[in-house]
Amino acid sequence: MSLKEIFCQDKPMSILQRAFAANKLAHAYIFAGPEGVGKFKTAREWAKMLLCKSPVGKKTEKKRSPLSGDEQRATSDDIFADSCGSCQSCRLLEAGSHPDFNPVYKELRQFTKDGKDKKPPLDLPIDVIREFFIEQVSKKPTLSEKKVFVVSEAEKLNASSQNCLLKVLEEPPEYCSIILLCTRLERLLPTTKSRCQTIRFSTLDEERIIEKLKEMGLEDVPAQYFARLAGGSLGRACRWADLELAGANLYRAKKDLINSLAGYEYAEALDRAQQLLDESKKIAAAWAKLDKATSKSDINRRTQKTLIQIIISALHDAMKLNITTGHGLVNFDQKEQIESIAGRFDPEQSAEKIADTYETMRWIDSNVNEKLIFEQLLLNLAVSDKIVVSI
Amino acid sequence: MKVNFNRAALAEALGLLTSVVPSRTPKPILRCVQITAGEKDVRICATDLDVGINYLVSEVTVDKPGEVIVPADRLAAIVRESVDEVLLLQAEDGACKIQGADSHFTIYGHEPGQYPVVPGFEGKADIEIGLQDLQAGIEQCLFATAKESTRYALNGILWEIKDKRLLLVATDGRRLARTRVNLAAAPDEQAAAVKIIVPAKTMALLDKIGSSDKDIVAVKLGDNRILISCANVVISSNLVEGNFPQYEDIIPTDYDKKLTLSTEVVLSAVRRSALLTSEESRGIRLSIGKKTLVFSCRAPETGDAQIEMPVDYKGEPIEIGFNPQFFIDVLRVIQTAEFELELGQTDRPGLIKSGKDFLYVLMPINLG
Repeated sequence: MSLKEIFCQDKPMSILQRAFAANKLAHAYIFAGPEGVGKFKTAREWAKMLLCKSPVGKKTEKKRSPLSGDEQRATSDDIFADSCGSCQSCRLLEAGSHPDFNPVYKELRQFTKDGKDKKPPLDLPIDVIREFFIEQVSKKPTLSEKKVFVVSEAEKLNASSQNCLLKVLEEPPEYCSIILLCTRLERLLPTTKSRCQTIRFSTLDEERIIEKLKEMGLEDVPAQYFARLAGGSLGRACRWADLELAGANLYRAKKDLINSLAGYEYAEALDRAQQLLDESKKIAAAWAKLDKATSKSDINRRTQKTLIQIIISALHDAMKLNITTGHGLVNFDQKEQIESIAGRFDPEQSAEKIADTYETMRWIDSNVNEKLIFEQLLLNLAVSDKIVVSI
Repeated sequence: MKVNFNRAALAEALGLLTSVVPSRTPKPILRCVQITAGEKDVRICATDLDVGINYLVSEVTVDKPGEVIVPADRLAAIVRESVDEVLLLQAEDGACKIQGADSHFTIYGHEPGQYPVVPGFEGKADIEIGLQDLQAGIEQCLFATAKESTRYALNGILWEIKDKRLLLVATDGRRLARTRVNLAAAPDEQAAAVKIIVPAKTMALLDKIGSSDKDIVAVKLGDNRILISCANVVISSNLVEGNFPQYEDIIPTDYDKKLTLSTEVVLSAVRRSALLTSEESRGIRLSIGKKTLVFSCRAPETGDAQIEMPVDYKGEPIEIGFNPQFFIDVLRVIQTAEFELELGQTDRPGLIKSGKDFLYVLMPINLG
């Protein structure tokens, strides 16, 4: 893998490349953008290039020629710096044993001094930041001339962790490059944000995702469905595809779910909630087998969120169908069911239901009992205009 | 790779190497050691990315050069438990086969080439020191380093070459220890200006190497790392970034209240007077009058303690408070039977001197 292979992120890439060519790299960046659009990949490949012993296309020291500004920018755009992929630094980075590349993620907790028996945390704890970030910053690089720190899931940094980072973010040693990966910029303190330069990552083309999913071995219809559901996040789509290929039957579960959403009685809601919960547990179990690095509780939450995402997509489609012709539906493969949902909720109601459903999504992160969440969710969507459940 | 090892020599090597292998690390390859066989010699490397050891193993016969990366604890356990005099190590497809007279082990390792490089010692040394002198110096300083300070520079020991001697300085902001170590040979001019901060962990490792009288340590100073070679071991360590405080400024030179005290007697007195300290009142008071020195401590809810000792003192009487732990720490490492205590005013630091080379500055505490 190299920087060149990163697609659909031309803008962030050109910002980085230009800063690099002009030798004006910021000491700390925030890569902001949705999950699974290549933030970590970019950060890693960028680090690889920074640490590389003989980077390709590195701008040689030239005297400033009396060119006009535009032309000069054009020349610096032409030079695309990339790692060589064959030096010792690149090889070690690929093998995950580069001494100067420091990924920081919350699962590192178990490797901290007294973290051995602690449960995998839900936020990024201060111990991890102290031991794997701040302490490491003060040590000079060993193999390369730089040291790169990449903090994954920076939105999970709690206030104390962020405050603890401020000093380092403010003025890291010369050789330090820091990248925070963040899906929710509003979770970062203003003091953190003001110390970093933010680069926004956008969502990816649907076509590229479909192509990739098909390469992985998915059939046309599920591939298109997952690509649309992912909403431009290749990472998410790939994870679902992995699950599907591993036999988790996510696609079938989705079909059942949409089928039942199309019309069930109020009295059935609780049973359906139980079914949904069972399904979610099955999927989470399959997921946990695939992804051993992530904590179980995190996987459970992600599975539940996926299922809720599916429900939201159906409501969204229903809303779309009521207003437009229904082109580009996520659930294009189950149009009948969507039509029946659309028949029950007018666009305004759908919007309300979507808001409510997003609210339940938020509950997942606040440790609400999962069964209650599903029950509430399905009671709210059942065929009944007599009883109104308020949230 | 195919190499015959003398088991005892290999066990000794692994004993030292496993001390740097981290017990918990997110990078599994660091739990391994790298064994590289050249045409004639075999080197084993271990690192936790901060400190690395490159060990030249003695008593080996190389049949086929090569490289293998194997889990350190497994290999060490096999070598420790084996009874043979000679062990044959063979590398095959990323696995390592170990053969004794009646035993045969296969351990799976990592792909060669993925292990972080642990440098060996090449070229001329910048400075040379007797190992025992250096270890004595380390012992006198190491305790005063800060344990987890955000002022990174305090988490290490400063190496400074002055007047053809090596100065080791450590401080945590409340106390400062400085000692001087004689160099075995005059340093070359480039090295003479060097000022570096070596992490406390590396210094502690140096202190652990078994030494004989005549061992000489060769040191190479780089921008980012220090290489220390002693006999067949090369320790490499990265350095701490940051500016060490201007310590010369805080060593008082104008004190007139001087006492010479017995190390052992004072250690006992400080220990006893500290018995009744509590969370709220941690200090002990030193009251120096004509001919007596009184150590006392008073904690409102526990009680009070008083230990008296006769001294030969002619100056102004003075009372000063100290943290007893910081006092005990230094008395433990003083090698001489007597030391000098110099004081200025109640609110100025105490100065402890032992011999010509050791000096300790201790901040007073306000006893209210």
